[in-house]
Amino acid sequence: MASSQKRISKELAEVTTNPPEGIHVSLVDESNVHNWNIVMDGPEGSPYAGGKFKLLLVLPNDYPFKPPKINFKTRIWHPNVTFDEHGSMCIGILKPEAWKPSSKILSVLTATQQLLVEPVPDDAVETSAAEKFKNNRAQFNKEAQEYTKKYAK
Amino acid sequence: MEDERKVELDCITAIFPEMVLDPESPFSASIELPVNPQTPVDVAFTNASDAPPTPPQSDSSEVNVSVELTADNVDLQNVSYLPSLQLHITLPDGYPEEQPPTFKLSTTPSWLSRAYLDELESNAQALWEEAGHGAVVFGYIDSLQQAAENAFGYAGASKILEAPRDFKISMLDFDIQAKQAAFKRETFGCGICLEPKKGSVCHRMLDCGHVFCVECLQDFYNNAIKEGDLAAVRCLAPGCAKERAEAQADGSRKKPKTHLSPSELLQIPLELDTITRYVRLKHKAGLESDKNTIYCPRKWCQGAARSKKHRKPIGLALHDGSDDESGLDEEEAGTTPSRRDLLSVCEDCSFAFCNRCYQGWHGEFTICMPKTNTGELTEEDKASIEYLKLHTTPCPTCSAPAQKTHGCNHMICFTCRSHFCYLCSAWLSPSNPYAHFNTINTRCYMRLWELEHGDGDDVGVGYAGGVEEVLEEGAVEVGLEAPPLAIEFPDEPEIDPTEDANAEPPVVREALQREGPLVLRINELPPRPVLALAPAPGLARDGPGNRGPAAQNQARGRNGPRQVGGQRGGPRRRRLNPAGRQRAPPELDEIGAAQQAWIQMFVQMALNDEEDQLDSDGEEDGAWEIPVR
Repeated sequence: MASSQKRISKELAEVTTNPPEGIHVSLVDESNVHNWNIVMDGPEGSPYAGGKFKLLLVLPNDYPFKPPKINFKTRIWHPNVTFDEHGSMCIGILKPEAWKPSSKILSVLTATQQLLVEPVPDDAVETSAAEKFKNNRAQFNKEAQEYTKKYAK
Repeated sequence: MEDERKVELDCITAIFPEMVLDPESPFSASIELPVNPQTPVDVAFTNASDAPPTPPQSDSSEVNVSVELTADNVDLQNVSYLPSLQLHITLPDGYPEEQPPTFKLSTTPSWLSRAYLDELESNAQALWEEAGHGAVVFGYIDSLQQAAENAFGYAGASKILEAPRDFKISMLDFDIQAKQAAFKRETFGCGICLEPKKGSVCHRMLDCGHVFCVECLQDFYNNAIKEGDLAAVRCLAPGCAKERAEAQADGSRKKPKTHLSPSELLQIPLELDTITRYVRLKHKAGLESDKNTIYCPRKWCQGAARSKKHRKPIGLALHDGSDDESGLDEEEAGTTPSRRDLLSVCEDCSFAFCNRCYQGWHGEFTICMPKTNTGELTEEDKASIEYLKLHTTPCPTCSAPAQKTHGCNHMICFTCRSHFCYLCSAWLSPSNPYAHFNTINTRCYMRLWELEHGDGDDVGVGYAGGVEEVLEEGAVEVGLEAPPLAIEFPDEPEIDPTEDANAEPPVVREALQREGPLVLRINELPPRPVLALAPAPGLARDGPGNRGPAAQNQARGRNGPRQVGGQRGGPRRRRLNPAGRQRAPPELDEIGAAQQAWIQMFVQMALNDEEDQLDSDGEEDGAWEIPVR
């Protein structure tokens, strides 16, 4: 789909010329607009503050008809991100039934950023993190900070 | 010296290029003045066509309006464009010094009363006097245009324009045409291709008013209908219809209108064939999500019995048309309704049959026995059913089988939108589907990500289809007609639609509803702790056989999916009982204790945040490939 490339290029231009605060976008490979490297600053006020989190955003060939896929490459201790090398994440906007072709990558990125500020423990994929987040916030924050220091430098 | 009138007309024509000069007489011209008020006008179409429309300025108007509106024969419409005002200009000899200009006004249909138009016409005289017998044509046109801006006093909520009902069609038609013309002139940013597009190549959604370019809509809807993803045929703006869709998920039986109607698809326009397919799929989805649907016993037909709830679409009209259900045997009155209900008529081949014994209709007085479904199946059918048992999970609501191609185990049924668990087919609450996977001591605890790369031939484990006895006759029937199709992975086997002689090939290509947060694999591992914690010897962390810990590991570690598939697939498949339903693997019970111990350790470690280490060494030294025995 030729229109796919065009749209992705447009979105890329938009995000690189006017990047949202705390998000830096670059291509993994300059010749392929489908794979984006994202570097996201841990939002201030969250236990991730000070960390730099790498994410990989992959746009399918039939983007924007199908949603992009986004994963944390940097380990992150977060109820909604699996604490493993995949960093799989659960955000509503990316579910196929919620995704609309006019949704933009920018909104995916800001939704991800928002998820760092406000985890959704009820939709958790990392159950132990969710439990701590709900029952022992101080401990959760402490651990999240430690992991941030450890991995997200 | 040139005639002043000619100079003036030339000048006016330069200002209003739409002015038409009368070829017959040199000093006559006509112009159409659009009536496009800034705020829409409420028009009341009344039956009182004998009463002439009343101008707002005249004294009686207020009374008339209030009286007429109380009558229930009033049809109130909101109109943005009113039929334009025709102005005919004649400049007589002696104009401008001695003679005033003659203006004739009219509208088609005559929604402005003659009296009011006369009043407007006579204004010209005053204007001409005011201007000291000068050139007044421009000034007059300008005054009309200004009056038209507020629809001659009718614009806004304060006044209501009355018009005879006879004018309704032409006035509304004019409004629609004018709106369309204005739409075509406008430029829109299409939210899909992000390009600015002229309105003429755009479509405005009828329900919500969002605008997209026709090309993108065609691409998207054609693809969605081709894949059978009916739920995607809706407005493409983010969040649009979300509330309506959520209301639907809340279990209200009545479906809110979130999907596009066939007529709207035709307007976009899509190909007629595509829309026909859409209508047919919609009908089929309705039938399939209804457990009460009865299917025709004729093997070559297998259509659904006629029902009032899901009427077979006629042309592009969904749930429309008169059904002639009453056509057969209806004259035999006086029997109990229950007996009569046994009669079913196939909507496709019109075969009349008994829905208890599935024989041709034997009349109401024959006692028959329910059909026992021993049915001889062809090898292909058996293979299909077998595949469905092994690699699909039926929806708990409608039994439609679903095959996961990737993602987590929270599924949404592609026919009835129920949320369910792929592993055990349990119904999940749409508001918090993950609770099922996060509740300790349940079978699916911590297994949200199991089988992340989809179910298929290379995955030897039958999930719900095997674990639970949920595949009933209905599900099999559904399955035969629409084998689920793996769309994501080309190496996954597909059931060739043509092998099922009874299925219609285009219908068969139902795409599987893909579900769950999409995930992606990252090859580059982040730095991990090297602390190697050997698993306790007693805790069997076996690979192929044990679905408990291994699966748990897989869910959390998620190493190469194909590899796992290979590991599990080979031996597992040989163990399958080809005829029976796939049960939980026998080893599961035998090693239950070890497994439990392992889980306990895992939970303990999870509480100490060490389970990661368990994972990492598991992946790196291949510890969990140790054979079971």
